Amino acid sequence: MMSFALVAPTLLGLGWPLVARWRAEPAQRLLAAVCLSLIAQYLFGWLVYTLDMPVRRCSPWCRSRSPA
Amino acid sequence: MFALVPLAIAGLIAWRREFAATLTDPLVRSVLVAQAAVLVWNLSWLAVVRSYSGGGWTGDWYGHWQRCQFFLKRPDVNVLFNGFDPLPSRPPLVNVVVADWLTIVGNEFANYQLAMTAWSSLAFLPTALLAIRGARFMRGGSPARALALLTIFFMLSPMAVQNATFAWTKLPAAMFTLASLEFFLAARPWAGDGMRPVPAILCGVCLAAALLAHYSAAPYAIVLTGAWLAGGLWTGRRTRWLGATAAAAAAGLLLLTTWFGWALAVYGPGGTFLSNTTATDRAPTLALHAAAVAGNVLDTVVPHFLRSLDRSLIRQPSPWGFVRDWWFMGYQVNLLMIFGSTAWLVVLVAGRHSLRRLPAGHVASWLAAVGLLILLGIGSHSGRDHWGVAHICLQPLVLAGLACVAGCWGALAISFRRLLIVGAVLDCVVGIMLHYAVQGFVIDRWLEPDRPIAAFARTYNLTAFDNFIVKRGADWRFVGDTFAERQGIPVAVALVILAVSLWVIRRQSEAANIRSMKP
Repeated sequence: MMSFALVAPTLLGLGWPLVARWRAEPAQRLLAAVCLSLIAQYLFGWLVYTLDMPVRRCSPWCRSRSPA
Repeated sequence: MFALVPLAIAGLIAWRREFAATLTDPLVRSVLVAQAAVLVWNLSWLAVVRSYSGGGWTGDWYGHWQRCQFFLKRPDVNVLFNGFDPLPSRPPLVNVVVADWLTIVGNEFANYQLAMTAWSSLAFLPTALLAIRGARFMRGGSPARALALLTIFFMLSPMAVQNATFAWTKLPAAMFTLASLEFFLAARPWAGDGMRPVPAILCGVCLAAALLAHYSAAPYAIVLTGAWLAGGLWTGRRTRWLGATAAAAAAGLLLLTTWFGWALAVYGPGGTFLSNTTATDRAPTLALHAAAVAGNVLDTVVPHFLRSLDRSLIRQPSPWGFVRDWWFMGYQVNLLMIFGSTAWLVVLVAGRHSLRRLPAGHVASWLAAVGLLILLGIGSHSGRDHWGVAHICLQPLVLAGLACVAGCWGALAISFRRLLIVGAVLDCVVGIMLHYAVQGFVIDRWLEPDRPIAAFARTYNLTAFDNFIVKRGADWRFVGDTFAERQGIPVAVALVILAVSLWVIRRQSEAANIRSMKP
């Protein structure tokens, strides 16, 4: 469960720089940051897959019983 | 993927002043607390599930797990998921991101379940903003009360909880779809040069992301695009509208190109566009296809218990399994009951109240948009389904309906409020508690604690047994298996969350009443 705490910042932090200065309601900024963060993660993962870049299948923090 | 974690933290630190200012906003805090409550509620019910079951739902939960594994292990691109499903039959966004997460948290099935439920729970966030928008739109509406009410509606909706715990990508797509609707309304494309370009671009990007999460977003993309163009063409000065429209379309198309460009290069047009069930299940002639769609429309609107149909799908030795499936096939696939057993009526009343506040010219547009969404949402399913097909595309519409009720609460007559409450209690008991008791074999183990759960799995319908066999064959450990001997813990957590949320509603309603009484 602790390793899920590492995922949490990626739900907000990747999109935040794009919307931080946007003059909108704070709740709208929050929603935009979450959506853009998820899209950024998709673009990153898609790039890794299509360019056949190496995937480390288990992080130093996870305690997987069955690494991929 | 690991590089993204410090990158995200750096992004938050670099713009920490703006971040802190956002977090100090009272409404943002309330939204975050409500979002956390919905997340814990959904995770609690997930922790009860030891084998998926419910009507004829099967396949997708492990199909999407296989797709995540595809992006981690990279087998041949012609691999078939579930033994028959090629990669382009589903878009990849959710699978790619969840695969990213699995590299951090560990590539285990339980982590996949947690990730899917967490993301699906995020569908609450845009719905909450729509409810707040609705409350502001109504005279005397209270955004805080609307938020608190929506939290309860979300928790007590059998559709929302089931779609959050069944590991598929419908609610992630709904999240992006509803976000695009929120940004559409914020952009105001009907305002000509008074429109706002940033939310316009966000609307385009979110709509594209919704399509890449699940093709069930296509009807919403069609309707929103049509509404956008119609809104712009009606207005006089269009310079700003044209620029914003071009930017939004370019951003959305660029995002779509990442998947469709690659898929076209690898699979060709046929493999890319004709492998989804909308194309593969299509009847051979246009007349037969139209007949299938018309039949599906009728069967989706009229609940199964008001007409005769072959009930072999839910026939089974277990009496509580049959009762669960009888309700399940109402709550999940029927156009009315998917809102809740009585909520559909209250949604109609709340919708009427909202429409009364609109300018005359907008009423017909909204009615046409909702009608078209329902028609396209049902019509996008090509195969004939006698139980109904509301579960294919209509989740965002249902959530928007619940947001409408939350926003209009103050305008509803007390009789409709009571009707909704009675229905919500029924939905919680037979649509959620009974459903998860069956998925966790709770009743069976209580009555016969010494029998293995495999023996109980045989007493449910064939689809439920098939799901159990797949899980057992793959030797997957569900989140629910961790709590196998302590199933009371997640249920107790869920009930505490519900009690606290009800207490918050009471406080918010009292505050709203006090405000409305002030001269």
